[in-house]
Amino acid sequence: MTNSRTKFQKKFDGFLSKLLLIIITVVSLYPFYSLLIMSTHTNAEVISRLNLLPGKALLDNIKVILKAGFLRSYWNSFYVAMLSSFIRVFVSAMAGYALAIYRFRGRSACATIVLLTMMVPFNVSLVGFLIEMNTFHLTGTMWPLIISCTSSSMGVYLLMSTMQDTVPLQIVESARIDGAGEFSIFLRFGIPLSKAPLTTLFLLSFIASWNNFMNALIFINKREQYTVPMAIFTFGDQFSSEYGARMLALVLATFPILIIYIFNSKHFVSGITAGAIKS
Amino acid sequence: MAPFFIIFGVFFLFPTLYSFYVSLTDNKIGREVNFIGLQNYIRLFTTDQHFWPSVKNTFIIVIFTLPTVIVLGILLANFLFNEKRRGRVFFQTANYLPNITSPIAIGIIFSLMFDQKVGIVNKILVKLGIFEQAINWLTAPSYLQRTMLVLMCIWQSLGYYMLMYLSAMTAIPQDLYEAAKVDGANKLQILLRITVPMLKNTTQFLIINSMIGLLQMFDQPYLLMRGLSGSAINTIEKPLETVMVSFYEYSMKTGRLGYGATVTYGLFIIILLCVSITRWVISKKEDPYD
Repeated sequence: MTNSRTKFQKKFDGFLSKLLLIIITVVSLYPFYSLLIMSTHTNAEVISRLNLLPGKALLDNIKVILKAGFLRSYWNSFYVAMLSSFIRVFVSAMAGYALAIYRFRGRSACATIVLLTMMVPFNVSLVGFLIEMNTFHLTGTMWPLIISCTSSSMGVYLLMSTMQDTVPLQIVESARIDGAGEFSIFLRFGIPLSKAPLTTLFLLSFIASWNNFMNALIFINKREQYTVPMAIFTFGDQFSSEYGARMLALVLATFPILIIYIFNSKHFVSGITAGAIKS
Repeated sequence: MAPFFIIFGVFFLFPTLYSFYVSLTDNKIGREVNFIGLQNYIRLFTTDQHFWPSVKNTFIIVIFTLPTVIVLGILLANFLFNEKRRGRVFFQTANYLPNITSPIAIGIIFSLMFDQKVGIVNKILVKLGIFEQAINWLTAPSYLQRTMLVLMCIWQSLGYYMLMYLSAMTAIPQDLYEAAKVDGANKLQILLRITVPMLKNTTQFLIINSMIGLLQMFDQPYLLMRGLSGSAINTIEKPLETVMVSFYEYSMKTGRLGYGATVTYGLFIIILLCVSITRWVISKKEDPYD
């Protein structure tokens, strides 16, 4: 009797936890669904009632966002995110490699600086960075957006701690004996051996840059330089009543991130959890 | 190595220190710059009518968001841990999506969901009989506006906490659980006596890092405040105005760079204080006899 009761209890518990998980997941996903549905409706439909099924205005909405120059913003965002992530990964890899492989005077000082400045938010340097960009005559270009992402020490920390394990010292030693230069050792062994953490860092930087709104708000003031978040934010100024089209723009803004994430979720999980486990 | 430290020095370290210098001046775009010492700081901490209210707003959001996501995160991770592999991957992937979605998308979707006319939240609340009629959340009493923002923060970050806890749980040695089961411990006891204490490091990391992040929150409240129409709503009380929002609204928009730098440093001081206090509380708890 008690045995069957505990069995029932167990089943019930399992059912309850599954139910809760499903509810939470539905809540997590509903806004995405709603976004997708709204993007196929006309403006009047979006603002007059709650729509739960797709409408017929998708093509019209596409026309509106094309007219608004959304493709241009799309390209801008892509360009900024690619370039800044690439520079960031490359530069962080060099620093991480050096801190992991070489034993030099001041190494621990550098490592300490990296660790300490990870705690200093970028916002603290924002005003100084803005004035610096003004003096370099870089405001009004895309460069502030690109540069602001590259100087974060989080990447160096991530690579420093992973490269210690991924790049064996013996390989570096034997390449040196074969007469290879230090930089070519880095390119030929350091980078290929650390593919996984480098990919992770690249993906995380790409998404951070793609989603960055505040910097774009502060540094970009010409329409032809708008990134996707800025384009969507100012969409209201241009087409104040086109909500359906705006939703479509949001769908398009979210889409690349979803694709990147779904196909690389392993890299994400390792990258996101890496910081916590070491500390 | 060198290139990073050059970029890092020129574009991060230097601006950070330079910001501090700027915070000691009356720098305003298009005007002569004078060194005025600590005057900005004195004004910020004593007479500024936006700073302390915005600090209060930010703190309220943190106080309600952080414990909720930690408790829910542990619970959900615990449920997920017992799922089969395939289910686990699906739930994990689906629930992490909000975390990587751009804040601007989230801001607009939530404005839509909380909209007076077409928002699903109003519809559900009216149907359940909690509200008599649909309300406009952006002009509603402060506590409702704050609830909206807190819900949005929870929605966005819960998946992250779940993921962190789940990966920490896989590192807990299984024999601990076996031993507890042999001793006849029930599920709740196992969760509270074994799992939660074993997750202590992750919890610490999450609390400190999220505190740093949440205290600097800008995108979500800024977008939410503007609602679906995208234009700012003028109300006397602004319960969603966080420190970074007030920094942008009153310093960056008007070109008062010197004072803006002071606001960011003021926030930085507050963040440092919060982190130190948290660290101190945690270490006190750890060694009660020290």
